[in-house]
Amino acid sequence: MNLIEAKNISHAYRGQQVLSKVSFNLKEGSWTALIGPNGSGKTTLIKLLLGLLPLQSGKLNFWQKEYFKELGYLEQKITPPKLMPMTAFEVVKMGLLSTKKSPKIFNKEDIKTALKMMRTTNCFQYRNKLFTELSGGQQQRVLLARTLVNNPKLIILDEPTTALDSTSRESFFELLLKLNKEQKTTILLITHDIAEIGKYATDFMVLDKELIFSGSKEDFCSSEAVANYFGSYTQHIMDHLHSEESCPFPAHEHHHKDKEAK
Amino acid sequence: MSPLDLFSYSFIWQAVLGGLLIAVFTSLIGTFLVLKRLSLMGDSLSHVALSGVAIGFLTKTSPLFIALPVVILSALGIIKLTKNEKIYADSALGIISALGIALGLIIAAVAGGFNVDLMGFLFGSILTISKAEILLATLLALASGALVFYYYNELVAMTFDENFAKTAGINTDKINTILIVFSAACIVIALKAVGIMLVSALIIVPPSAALQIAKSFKQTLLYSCLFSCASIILGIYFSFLLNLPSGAVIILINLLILFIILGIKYAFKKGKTA
Repeated sequence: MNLIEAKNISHAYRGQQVLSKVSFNLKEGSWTALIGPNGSGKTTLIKLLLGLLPLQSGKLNFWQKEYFKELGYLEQKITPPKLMPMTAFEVVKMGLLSTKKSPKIFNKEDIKTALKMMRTTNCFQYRNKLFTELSGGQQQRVLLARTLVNNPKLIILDEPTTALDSTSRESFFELLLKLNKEQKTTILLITHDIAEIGKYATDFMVLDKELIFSGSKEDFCSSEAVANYFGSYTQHIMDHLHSEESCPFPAHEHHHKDKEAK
Repeated sequence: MSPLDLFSYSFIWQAVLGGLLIAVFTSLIGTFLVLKRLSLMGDSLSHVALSGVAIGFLTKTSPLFIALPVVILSALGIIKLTKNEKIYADSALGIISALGIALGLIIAAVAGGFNVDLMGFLFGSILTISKAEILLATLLALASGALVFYYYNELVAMTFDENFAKTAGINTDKINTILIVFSAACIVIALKAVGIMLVSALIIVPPSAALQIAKSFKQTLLYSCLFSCASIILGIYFSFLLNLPSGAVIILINLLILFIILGIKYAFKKGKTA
């Protein structure tokens, strides 16, 4: 089943085209890495999927009408008001709002669920601290708990590990992998770090205003379009991925052949 | 006359009751405006209120009841101006503010200039609050209380992170519009207490003081209400006792509370680092 079917999505800001006829399907249970250079339209595409920007042209179909009830979203960084008097626990609790009917009031079960998720994401110890007083890494763990607390079917993450150190990044991805494998949670993740995400993602999308590539990791590794598009920039990343036996990168070979020729 | 004798006057009780109602809903709505960085909205809309009050005098109808729809329509105009991103939010506030003052001055001139009544609205006169105005304040206080209670979690989520609130299916446009309309109503009725010149301070200062010491959102709302109510009671008391303008005294007491809290916080911080 496809959770999202996007057809011919185009978008422009003040007459400047940032997305052009992008079509793709997001399979249930997949982990898709959305990659592309700065200004390639990745965040715009995500915002369109989330309804944060109005759809200018094209069509988006979701697996159900009230899809937001089963959706988790995590940004790279948020900037709440500096004096916002909200504890980490209160922030996590807000993740359950999508499951509530108006008036949206939390019950004892919600409190238990939020605290349990804080333990899972390893931020329980600072549950009573003000969110704005936490470090960048601690804040991101709290926000991850908020993203996961409603047990989402689809999680959309926009460069979520920028504020994390390498150990935290690994445990972050391991947790996502567990959700992806055990609960079949679908993941769509924007990243620049192809080497790191190559260990986890099952599918790749390469975007540069138009869709350069969309398909499985295996197809990504053997795609001439990917090799042609990334050129020397990706050679470095390919070197990392090359160590993965499952990914025999032709582009890597080209790179070495080029080197040898020189 | 002993200082406590002034509470034997019925108009003082009327002023205290009206003032407390105004304090409750300005601090409830003000907390969200301050955190959403919309404090200047109060300033702009109070200037628009000048036009409404002047129209009231020109047409010889109750100024507050005329100012109410004028300010609400202007608030909706600000939302419309900023929504399509053609004009920056602070520019839109400046434009509406200038329009409000310019129109207000012209209408006031046509209506016979700045008389005593208009001065009352410019600088506030809580001691002259009428029963109809108390009724209006009661309705607004109840409505703003109901608004905050019903949408509490949505308002908090939107204030913290509006993008997240939208993705959680919250109709942020609708709730923001309701909040702005209530802010407009709040500004109009608060004119009676502190006047056009100082009304924005009643919306900004108590929440700003509460935010310095509160450890949760509910605490912020509570402290904000308490500081605002205290300033109203003490303001009425001292203004009557010292024969000073009530609006100015109320705002000065609010500022005094803020500066005391900031001073204590600074002293604690200094003590810790020493």
